[in-house]
Amino acid sequence: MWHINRDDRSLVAAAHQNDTGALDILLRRHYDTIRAVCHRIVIDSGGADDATQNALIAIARGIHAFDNRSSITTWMYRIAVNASLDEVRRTRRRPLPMDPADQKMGAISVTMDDMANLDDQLLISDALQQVDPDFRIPVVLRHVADMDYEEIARTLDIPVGTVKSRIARGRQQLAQMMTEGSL
Amino acid sequence: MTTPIDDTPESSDLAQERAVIDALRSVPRATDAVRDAHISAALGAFTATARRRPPQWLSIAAASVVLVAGGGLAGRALSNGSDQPGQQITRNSAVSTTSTPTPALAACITTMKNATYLSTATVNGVDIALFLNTNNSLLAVRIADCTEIASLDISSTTP
Repeated sequence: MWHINRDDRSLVAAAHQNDTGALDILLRRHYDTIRAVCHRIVIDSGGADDATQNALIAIARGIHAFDNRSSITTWMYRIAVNASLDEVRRTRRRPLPMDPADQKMGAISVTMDDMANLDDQLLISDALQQVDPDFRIPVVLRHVADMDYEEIARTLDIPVGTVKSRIARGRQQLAQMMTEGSL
Repeated sequence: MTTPIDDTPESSDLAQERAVIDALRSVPRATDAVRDAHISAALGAFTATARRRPPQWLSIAAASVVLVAGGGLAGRALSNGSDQPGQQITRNSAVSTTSTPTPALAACITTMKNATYLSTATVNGVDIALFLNTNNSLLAVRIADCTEIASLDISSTTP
């Protein structure tokens, strides 16, 4: 696997030459963050996995058009956000599960082996569901995708000042809801 | 790595918000099987897309061939079949599918949706667009009316 130590830019260049191995490395390198972005925006675990899959396919289909004007991570996370928002819109049209407990358990991954985190996961999932997407998404991009304010502003097409205020408000709302939920 | 809380003046809430950020970031990892399935599907989509796109070297080779040989074809076609040794062939742009096309060229690219746009050239003063067809033939198309004026089979002339 000679690609493994190559930087993102050279992997993108290789992918432009139809190098499947280069794209494989690129997707694996950023998979966890793409998936985390999808999970924190969609929240429902099944829907988030669908969004992750759709985002990866969109990245694979669109990589030839990526022109290096932004960073590859910004471009990929933007696709992840759009795939997640599409999934949220689809989910709103689906009937809710009959048993709310099932819905709550669906918000965590079956792969989680550290049961000590279970409460936090349920709390954050519940809290995220209650925060308006306008506030939730900037918080996720800032603290899950590690994007800076300018990147978030470009991704969401809103002013930097709005990004800052929405992150601050979204984070406060989440903290408040988690505190109330844990009492 | 944890992003700093650098945009909240209420420092008394810092610990609480730090807990929020930690919880946000601790998304349980996917199983290897789920991750591999996701990536395999994406690579499958990539392969299907790549199969429809000629690699860059082929585009360059194709454009070069058409400018040298295809240009002659286009020149003869534009002069009703008579050879014109002194014809002028000028390449207008680098091989690219990302440059901004003129409205006429854009319309022509739309019309030629089953072929890959390569470049433009001027042959005897006539602006032509060069396309790679799905059967590996190069097409010279007059941009003004999007009429095919010449084609060239390049399957035996490229590496």
